[in-house]
Amino acid sequence: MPRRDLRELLETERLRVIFDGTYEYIGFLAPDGTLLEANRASLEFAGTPREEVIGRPFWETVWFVHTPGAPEQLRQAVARAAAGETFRTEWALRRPSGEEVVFDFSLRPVLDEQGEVILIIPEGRDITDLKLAEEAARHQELRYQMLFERATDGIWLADQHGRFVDANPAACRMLGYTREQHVALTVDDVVRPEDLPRLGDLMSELAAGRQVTDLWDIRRADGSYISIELSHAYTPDGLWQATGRDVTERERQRQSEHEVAEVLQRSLLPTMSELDAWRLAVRYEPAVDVLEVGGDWYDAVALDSGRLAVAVGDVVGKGAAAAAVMGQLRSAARALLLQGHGPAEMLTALDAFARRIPGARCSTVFCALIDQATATVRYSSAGHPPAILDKGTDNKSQNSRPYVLLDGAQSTPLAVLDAVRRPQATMSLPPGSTLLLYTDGLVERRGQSIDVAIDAAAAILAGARAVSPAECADRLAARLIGRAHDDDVAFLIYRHLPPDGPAPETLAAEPVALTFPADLDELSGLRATLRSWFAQARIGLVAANELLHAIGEVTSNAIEHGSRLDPSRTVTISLACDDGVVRAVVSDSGRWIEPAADTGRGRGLRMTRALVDDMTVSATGTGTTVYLTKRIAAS
Amino acid sequence: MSLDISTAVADDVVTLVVRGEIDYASAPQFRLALDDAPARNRLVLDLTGVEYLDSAGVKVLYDHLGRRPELVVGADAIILRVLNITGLRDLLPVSEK
Repeated sequence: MPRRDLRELLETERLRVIFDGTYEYIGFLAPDGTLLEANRASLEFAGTPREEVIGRPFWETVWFVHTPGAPEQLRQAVARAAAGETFRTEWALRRPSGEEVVFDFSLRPVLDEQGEVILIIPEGRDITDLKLAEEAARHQELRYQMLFERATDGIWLADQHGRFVDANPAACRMLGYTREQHVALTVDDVVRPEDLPRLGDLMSELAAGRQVTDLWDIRRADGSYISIELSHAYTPDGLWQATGRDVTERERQRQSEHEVAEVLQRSLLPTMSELDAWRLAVRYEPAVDVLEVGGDWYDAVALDSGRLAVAVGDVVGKGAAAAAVMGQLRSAARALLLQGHGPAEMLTALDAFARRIPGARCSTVFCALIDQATATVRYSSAGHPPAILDKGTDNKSQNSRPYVLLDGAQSTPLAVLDAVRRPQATMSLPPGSTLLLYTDGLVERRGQSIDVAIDAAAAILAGARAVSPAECADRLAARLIGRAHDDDVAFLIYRHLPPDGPAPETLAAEPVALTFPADLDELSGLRATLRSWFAQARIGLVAANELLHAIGEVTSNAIEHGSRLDPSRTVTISLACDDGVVRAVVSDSGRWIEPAADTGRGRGLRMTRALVDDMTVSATGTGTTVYLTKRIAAS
Repeated sequence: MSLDISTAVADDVVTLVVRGEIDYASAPQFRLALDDAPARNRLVLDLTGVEYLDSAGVKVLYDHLGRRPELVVGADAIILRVLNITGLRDLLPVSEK
């Protein structure tokens, strides 16, 4: 198209409007690069009058001369366009002011019917802002990528089917997988089988839009488990994201704090064997949760041949500190009772004492003084739940309950008010009646009223009139505490029999030692032997079964691992029962192997620990010896 | 005492009545009985006659969690205690008889 025609074309108003109206920078070049026309936007951008640029070679114009190298580059590009090529590039050009602007720049040749280039159309679009935004987004993503890659916390991403989508290097290190191995796994592969139901709960929490932080045992590549505290959330694009760190060490620490508190607590509670003759049974069950252990206590003091003081209490705090306060209060209470103070007097004196012990304020105590000769119990409560007395017979003629609550002498917890006159009440003890003193952990259940729980405890007492206090205590513990409990529980049971009743026998049996080949087929006969020894030692059925299981687990472990099922080796069990404490010692000539928690062996060990009061393993080069201790009362 | 397991198969439910002692020696027999129990909607394991259940037996139960066996145990039984300690009580339906 001749130049004149072009000019004429642009004179037509409509095209001119479009040409000048667009925000893009647009013009026309002759094939030799001469600028024929430039639209208003481009002229305004350059801040130059039209006459300055029209008719000059494009590369000598104001748009290009301020950028070093640009004119030469443009000249070559124009030559290529003149040869029929379309040229397009992102181009950073400088204004006269030096400010840099990024263009999406193109040169497009226009051909006539013969295929000759008659015109070149240069076009430029300012994409500076777009480039800046892109760069910012890229930096942002790089920053997130760096966070993900370098975070010391593990970060996992999984889809809603539980398939891992990504895991950062910290996560991979924590679990011992490469990233490729890790993303081939599902969440189900790395949690404990027994935790699978928890996953469903977690998913519904997250689906409800909540953030959750909790503790999981996660399986490593080598099969071991570590505890990881995880924060979960859904990402905006629907992935499940978990962030967490290995807290195995911390959990171990917590566990050992738990053990310290429990050991301290237990060591501060009295051993009650000398009181078997009083038809007493006591239990202390520490809270399952570390932070809740400590503070609950019981005590029983024989004052003279016919009088017995009993008490239970609950210190407000938790942990080793509470156990220490508990120890002081218990000793003080005991000293006061031995001095001849009655229940109300003792609590009043204890008030003064508690005021001087940090952490003792608000503790609760129930104290009762049992007089066997007069068949009465005098009692007083400092803010403590009332004791339960099973009357020993069902009163069928009236519609009354077979139990009473000792709630006639309630007052405030220790050291709360300055001068309290503590009330005292008296209740008669029918023959065969059973008195239960307890801490609130026995009757407090989420979602259940205390009255219902007290009824349940009383029903267990009524059902256990024919069995020993020890067995009665076993039943209470099994039915009311059995499941994971989140509070300490201490309780004490007294069975009232007329003083001329048969004198309780002391619990003892001839010690035995059994040596047998390391063969699993020996287990059945061994249990028969153990059962008859338990019967001879007058150990109740519940405790006997617990001992049977505890010893059985340790023994089969000794046969299988200690002696590697080699019947030429032997395993020895020795049993002794003194003062209501059964000691069992299982020895083999093999090496002790601590089993993983989720194996059959690991569960067996957990079972043993739960069923006895103490389990100690002594492993030497020549063999392994396991010591079991369980406190028991006569049946 | 040995282990005695009887299997009763109905249209909808398979019931295994287990009596005796499950220990490391007899657990394979227990496992076999569970493996062989035909697939029905429900699998009921009546353990009221079980006097001893050690970790070998517990492992067999863990290995069959997928079949959701419903456990029946005697009230007051040591078995219930074992199920509690080993976590099975929380994983499987357990009823006391």
